[in-house]
Amino acid sequence: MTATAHRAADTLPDVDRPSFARLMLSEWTKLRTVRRWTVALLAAPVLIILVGVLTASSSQPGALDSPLVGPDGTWVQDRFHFVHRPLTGDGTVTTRIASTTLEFSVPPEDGGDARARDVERTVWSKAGLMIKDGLRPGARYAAVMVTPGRGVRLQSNFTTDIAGPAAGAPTWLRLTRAGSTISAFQSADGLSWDPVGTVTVPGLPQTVEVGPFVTSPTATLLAQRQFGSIRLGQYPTTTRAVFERPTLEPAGAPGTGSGEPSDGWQDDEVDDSAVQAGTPPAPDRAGGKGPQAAPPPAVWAGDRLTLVGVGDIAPRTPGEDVIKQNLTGGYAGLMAIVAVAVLFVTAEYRRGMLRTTFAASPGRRRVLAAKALVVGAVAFVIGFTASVAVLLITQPIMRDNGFLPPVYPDWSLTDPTVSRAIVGTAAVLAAIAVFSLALGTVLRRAAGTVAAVIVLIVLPQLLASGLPPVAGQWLMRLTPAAGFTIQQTIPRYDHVPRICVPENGCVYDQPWAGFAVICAYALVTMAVALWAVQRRDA
Amino acid sequence: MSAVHAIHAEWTKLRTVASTPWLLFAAVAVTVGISAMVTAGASSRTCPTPSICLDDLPRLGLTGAQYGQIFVVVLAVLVMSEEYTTRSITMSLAAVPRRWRLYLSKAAILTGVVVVVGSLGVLGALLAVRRLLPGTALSAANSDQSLSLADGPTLRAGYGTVLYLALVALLSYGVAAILRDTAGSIATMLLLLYVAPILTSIITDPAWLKRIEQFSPMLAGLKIQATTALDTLVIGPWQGLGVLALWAAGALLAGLLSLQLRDV
Amino acid sequence: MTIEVRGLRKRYGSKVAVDDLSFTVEPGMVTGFVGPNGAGKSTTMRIVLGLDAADAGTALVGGRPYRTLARPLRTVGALLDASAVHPGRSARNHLLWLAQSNAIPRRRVDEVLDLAGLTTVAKRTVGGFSLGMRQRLGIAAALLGDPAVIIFDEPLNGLDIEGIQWIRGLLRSLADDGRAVLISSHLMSELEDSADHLLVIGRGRLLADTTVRELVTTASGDRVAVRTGMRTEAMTALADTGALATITDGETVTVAGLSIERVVELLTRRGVTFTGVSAHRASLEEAYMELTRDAVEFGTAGRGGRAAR
Repeated sequence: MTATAHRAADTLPDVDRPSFARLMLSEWTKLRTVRRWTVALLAAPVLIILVGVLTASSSQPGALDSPLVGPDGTWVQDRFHFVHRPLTGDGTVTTRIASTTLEFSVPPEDGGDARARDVERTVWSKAGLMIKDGLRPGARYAAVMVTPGRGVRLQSNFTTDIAGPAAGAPTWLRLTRAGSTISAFQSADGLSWDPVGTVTVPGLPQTVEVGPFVTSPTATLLAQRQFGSIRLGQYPTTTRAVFERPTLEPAGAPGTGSGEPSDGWQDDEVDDSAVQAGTPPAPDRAGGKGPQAAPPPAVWAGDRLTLVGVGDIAPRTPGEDVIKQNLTGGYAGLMAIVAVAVLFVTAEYRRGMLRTTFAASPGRRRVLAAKALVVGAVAFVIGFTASVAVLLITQPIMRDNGFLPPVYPDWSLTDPTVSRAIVGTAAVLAAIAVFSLALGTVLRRAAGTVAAVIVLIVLPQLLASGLPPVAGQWLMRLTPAAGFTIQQTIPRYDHVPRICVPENGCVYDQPWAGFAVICAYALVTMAVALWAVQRRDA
Repeated sequence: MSAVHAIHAEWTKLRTVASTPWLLFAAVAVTVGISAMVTAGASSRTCPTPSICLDDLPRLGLTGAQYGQIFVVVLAVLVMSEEYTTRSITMSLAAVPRRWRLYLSKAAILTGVVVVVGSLGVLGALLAVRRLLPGTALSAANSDQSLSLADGPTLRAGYGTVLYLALVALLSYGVAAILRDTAGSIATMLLLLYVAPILTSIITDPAWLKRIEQFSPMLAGLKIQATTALDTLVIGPWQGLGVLALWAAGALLAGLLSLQLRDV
Repeated sequence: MTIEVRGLRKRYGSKVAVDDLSFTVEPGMVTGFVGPNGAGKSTTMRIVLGLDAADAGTALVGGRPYRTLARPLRTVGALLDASAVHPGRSARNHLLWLAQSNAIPRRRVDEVLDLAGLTTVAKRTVGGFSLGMRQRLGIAAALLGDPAVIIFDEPLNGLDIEGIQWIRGLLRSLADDGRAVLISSHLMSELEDSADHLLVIGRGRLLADTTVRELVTTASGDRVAVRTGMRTEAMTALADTGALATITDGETVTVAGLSIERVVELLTRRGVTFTGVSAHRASLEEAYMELTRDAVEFGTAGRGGRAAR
């Protein structure tokens, strides 16, 4: 009997089945005709915008210690010890780095040797050869260097970084200028040279300063958590590098003409702290100390040059991601969306209406898929509209509050990172809506589902600040809120170490990775729901 | 006389629904479990001056209440909203037609149950944390603070947390009486409670931070857990709990008016 | 004890649900409350029970508003919506909290469970009950306080034959005990055999307040059907007396307000031949339809048709 009925249903002509578009239309009608749901869905963008405006109008930028910018306007730091001489036109500078020594101290309560190894692993100390447009901090440059543990690198204008051979001191380095093209080479013996890479430094003047340099930044590491706050350990380092036979061809004008190897080389510290003039010296947001004392001058012993450096040559990024911050309202808006998405299916179970729905369109999976698409599309539209609105509203507010270039570069909605944040917010809300709907289908109870979804999304954010950093980070990575990583807009540089504090939204390095997590939640739950809806009685 | 009967009936209603024991169990388990987890995860190893870093051991030991309260919210919402979603409100009002009496009976039973469960959670959390402490790095630093209920501030943090949970329950109950819908009420409550801490983790303007901490039902209410450095709080422990009490009173009153004046 | 409704009005938005309704439900009899869907029966009952507030008028039970009763279940037993029960609670626990709220002894719970034939399923959760079982549970709840006034909204809905007979017997015995019993239905046939008194309501207004017998009589009047081949002549003969005559089908003329003897006499005097004369007696159902013809809320396209369910 059942078998017969089943076969009969299978052989029904296809024209009798409502088209999927018609099914979606019917679900859309159901969604928009419950007044309470419409109110809640309208509340979502209002919440997103309100929270965004509140965040924007009540935020202030961190105290600015140096507004130094690089050649392309990027916020940078530029401090190093430079022994140099002028080069006019094309030429080649060569040296051997005999040794580099990293010096720093870790208080015993910070973890002693283990922490010291962390510092060594993290810090990008640099020793090598540089060609720079004068001694002004922030000026154009290209440099080849050894960095302990990271091999030979060629860097230029702060943001470019090319990895070369995995060699360390002792090693030979060479930098060749031909117009605005600069090529770097590395050699173990000073005879056979391997290319490291080539960069173009546009706008480099005819006469540049060239020579050995050393710099050594302050390592910032996550210390243990205490009471809802994370302490950052800061360890200033110095690097002592020994150069042998630095030579420039053509040699250019001699200095005193003494014939000593040091003749013609000038010793200077390029120091961006001079740029601070006029701005009050404020501690770094991470709780760092003031600028380090200047290192001792260069020491020549025959053709051996010992150079001690502190500082860093690198782009800087602000602590706050302005775009992500102003999109925080997503957390508030999603609560309304979750409630509606859950009710959209549990209300049918509760009222027995699902029987009507399934009687009207027996393809249960198609019904559920139509519901999911409708609710996801609605959430996407809400998220997209509200994100665009909130960013447009908050942009002038943030400017008034002092979020200005160079630290907070100007942005427009069409910037790839900003568009990604907007579309990403909308997509995350859509995925959360589908996840909620699917979980509601599986659990069939509104109360449990709403609580579960909101707990899964909101609480890791809070709980992460109470757990050890690693546990907190994994909690954030594995729960649906990881999706909001897609709102990240701050540029990341592989050659700049960064500290990742999970509750600050630093969950994944790749914005899309977090989005994949929430999508996985939505898809897996949806699969279970599709299976359950077919298998269970209505 | 009749009030007693109404309360008795509400107690029967509450205990004869399967979700109640689970929610109560979860509230206690989460409060104790997260308190223990957070305490075990905190470390003073790298803290230069323990007396500054580890200022509030009792508060740390009661962190779990921030998460256990979710189940209290769900329970409190269900107590009222299920009457509407199952339409059994008609039976309830046929049996107890004086609506304020029905409303207050429910509130009384809810409060009683939450006080008992909250006390279990608080005692469990403090006991668990006390047992855990010797094994953590915190122990060396906490000599100046005790987790004993004989200690005045710790005792206040303890029963204050119980009161906090009871007020959160009453707030949720009032919201459910206004909205008459389970999912909507739970979403509203969680929004009301948890958006503030997310905001304060982002906002940097001190004036706004202060404002949010003073008026958020969760942040202000939880000040009752503070035991040291009270002069640095933006709002005192009891004043903070008072803010939450005002929220709860407002919601309770609005819920009562909604029940009295609207048709069911 | 009685139910007294005076000048009751209630509107929801722009829709008038109850319009100047007055009636009294007397003790010792079953009063049927009948009208099409949406006529205002349930609204009236909800107002009597204090669930909805009237815009005007009063509804008193035993002379007092329901909301002032201290232990209302001991005065009024009501079944409004059998499915309005928490699905997660057992039948016994559902009755238990009701009993406790009105200080009704615990043993009474078992008594009404037994009365309603639910003893064997008392510990099962209501969510798994059939409509009929829920109806029985609702009736058990209504009888819990041994009330003097009984109000049942559509008690026969979803019951099988055995259940219907059980309720009919129950209603009869409740009325015979001297209780005031008010039951509603949208089907007159359900009430035909059980109600002593009828309240007919349509579009919120009272259409009839009468006994079953009276209703049938007034509705059918003295209608006489004449089968004849001379319809026009018959019509003229009968209409001359002032009576209302209508042609109901090809060979039948129906006349109201005349006795069968008078009809035969009139026709004979005019020389109208006929093949048959019969006194037509309307059923209660027809009488009801006639009364509510204009009051059907969701009528089918042809107005003369039957009331939509």
